[in-house]
Amino acid sequence: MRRRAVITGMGILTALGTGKEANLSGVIEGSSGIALITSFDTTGYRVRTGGEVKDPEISRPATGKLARHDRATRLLLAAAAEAMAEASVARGLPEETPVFAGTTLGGMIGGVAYHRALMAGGRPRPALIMDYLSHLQAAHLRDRLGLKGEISTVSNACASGANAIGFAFKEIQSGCAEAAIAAGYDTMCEFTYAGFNSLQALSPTVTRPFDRDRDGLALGEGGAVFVMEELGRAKARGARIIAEVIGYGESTDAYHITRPDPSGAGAARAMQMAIVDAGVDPADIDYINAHGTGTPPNDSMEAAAIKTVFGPHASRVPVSSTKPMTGHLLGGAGAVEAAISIMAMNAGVLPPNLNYRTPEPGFNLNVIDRPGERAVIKTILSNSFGFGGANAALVIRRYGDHAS
Amino acid sequence: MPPDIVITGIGVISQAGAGVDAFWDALMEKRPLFSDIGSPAPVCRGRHSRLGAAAPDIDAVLDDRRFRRAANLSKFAVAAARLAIVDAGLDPAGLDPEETGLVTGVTHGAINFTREFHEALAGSGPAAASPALFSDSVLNAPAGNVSIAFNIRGPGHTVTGDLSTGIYAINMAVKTMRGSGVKVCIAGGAEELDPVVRGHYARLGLLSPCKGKDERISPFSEAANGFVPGEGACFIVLEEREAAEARGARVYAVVSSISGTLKPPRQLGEMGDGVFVSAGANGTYADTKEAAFLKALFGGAGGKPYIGCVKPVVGESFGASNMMQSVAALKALHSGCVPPSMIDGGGASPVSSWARVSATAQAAALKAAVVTTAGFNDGGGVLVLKKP
Repeated sequence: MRRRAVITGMGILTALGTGKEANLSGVIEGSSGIALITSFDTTGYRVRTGGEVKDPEISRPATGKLARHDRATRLLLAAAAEAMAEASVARGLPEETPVFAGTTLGGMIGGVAYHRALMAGGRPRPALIMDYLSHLQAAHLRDRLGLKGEISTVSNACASGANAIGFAFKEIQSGCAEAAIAAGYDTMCEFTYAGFNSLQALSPTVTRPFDRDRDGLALGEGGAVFVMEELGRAKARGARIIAEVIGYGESTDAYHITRPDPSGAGAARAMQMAIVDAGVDPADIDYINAHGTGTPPNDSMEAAAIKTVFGPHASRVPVSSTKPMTGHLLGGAGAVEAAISIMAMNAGVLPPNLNYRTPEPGFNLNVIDRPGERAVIKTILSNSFGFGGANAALVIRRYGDHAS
Repeated sequence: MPPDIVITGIGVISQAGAGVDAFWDALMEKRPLFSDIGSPAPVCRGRHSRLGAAAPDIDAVLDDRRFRRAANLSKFAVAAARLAIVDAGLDPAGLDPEETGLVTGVTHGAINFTREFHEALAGSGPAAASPALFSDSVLNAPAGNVSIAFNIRGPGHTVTGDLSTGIYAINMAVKTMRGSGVKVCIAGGAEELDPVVRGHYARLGLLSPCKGKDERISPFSEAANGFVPGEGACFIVLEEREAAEARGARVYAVVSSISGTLKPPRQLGEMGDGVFVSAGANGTYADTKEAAFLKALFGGAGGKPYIGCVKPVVGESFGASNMMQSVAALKALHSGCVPPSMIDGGGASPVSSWARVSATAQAAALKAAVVTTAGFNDGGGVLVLKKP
């Protein structure tokens, strides 16, 4: 009998807002957090928009040790505070509780500022770069939570956030941990913006995943944090259970350093593994939160992979990419999209795939093209795929339907 | 009980050259692999740090045109992974794609490409930013390249940390094998030298010769004055014991326990005589924490372990460091010979109160090896390897 891993606390911060309430109402209404970039000058870029977190608390100058925190750490700690408050385990987590975090950039904003100052011939303050390395944010989170366990920072590009949840799930399921923290986060940073701009991956219009006329992605920022516990422990302490993680799959394309394998074979394998791991059938999946970046190659590959895994059911199962609302959070995407999917599942509302107008011939997917559509959602699949051919998929179900 | 995991292959790209023999010879001969790589920035009080353990010309080692434009970090990783796969007696072109996993540890990542990409962006604007540099600057680019090089399609992860990155990578490889059921996992780490990174550690007072004297790494010593940076890559092949034995593989060691924190391992009974400690000490403040941990572990009753430090020879190569320490431990277990300790003062060193400090290599009947590291800001780690 495998141990069961449940989520008892969840925090989220995206361009849609701070916290679960703001994000859920944004998802139900079909709002978009994509707007003109304000944190750096976009002169010279093909595109000028993105999904920045507008919470003034995150941008407020800090003093003392906190001044060394990169924006990445501030996003992560803010999402963690919400998750911990909900789980009400501030003092109750075992000291050895591990932290699994997923990020692509770490503290790149500080790194960029430091390097710019250095290039200008100055002697930049080392404090600028004291939170640069990508494992430091998880170390700050561990310290903030008063934990002494392992920190594992996964940097599998845009799959990282899903991998973090997957590791936490396996850690609890295998009996290695009673509880675990899983997180995914990334910032809006000019470095990445310029990178995706140079790859011509940013949409010059609006991002419209799975649409025939899709022309690229919109970047976002933020993060999500989960408190996960073994079911027995969570029940014993009377915790409110938000959802249960029941399956995880991961694979590698071994195809190209940035482009996905067009056959979708690697992505399909990750989805299939997650579904088998969960002990469910594809027909049991009530909603797919697609990776759906809005780039032509990703969405074609993903549509092919969904077809491979779901067969005749592929044209029926509701699918959406929530990236037109939040932007693509890179290492944060898998975590934020799991959180959004869970909230939508518990609210019984399918998240919309904004900006979807014209079906791509051949995709034949049930893309949710309008907000507020109600449905009974018991089991969801969340996909995340990244550079380097990294694929991850999670199966999460509503708690209560299978509470034994 | 989860299946035993064993180590069957090792591959090293260090300044000694390609392959584990060159690396091991340098350790046995106490031959620091440092050369003058130029001064990036003045360190404390006008002193300059000039030395580094630079890797060999990697293009002469890696004969694979697919990666000719990749960052050095990826080239080091692909070359070291190939050596490890071959050393394990596996066919680099014939791995079982879906039954093989990959875990790569990095600290600064492909920092030269990262810096060059940003230099162009900040200096000349977005139009000058190169997509090729960006693609290969991503932290998991080495993992992507290694997966392509050997057609690895199982779980693949990149893990980050500072001094403990390699132990994190092995820890994650063990978790990945147990979580996904893959029978083989290639795990390793890589690091590149970069002037901006060196300049930053110099500013922080962590680069030798920050406190004067010679430029070198003096582990666990009062005379320590910082670290000398290094680069390279080091990979190992982990396998389920049953699968390794079924194909008649040479087994270097069994992974007995691993922790991504400085937590005492459970099997204390085996500690002491017959143990080799491959320490991570690098001549910085991290040594104090590591020494305190080891002293608490071995300072009581029971025998004294042998001890050796690789960094005075290969430098501090972050993402690759723990892996190189692990390879020294695996070679010692397998050959029955421990390399010189590389600790100042020999028997007069405080370390000799709890370990056998020796200026020369010694024959030793080892039962186990312990790889330790105390990170700058990560959690540190302990890997216990047992003789098969």
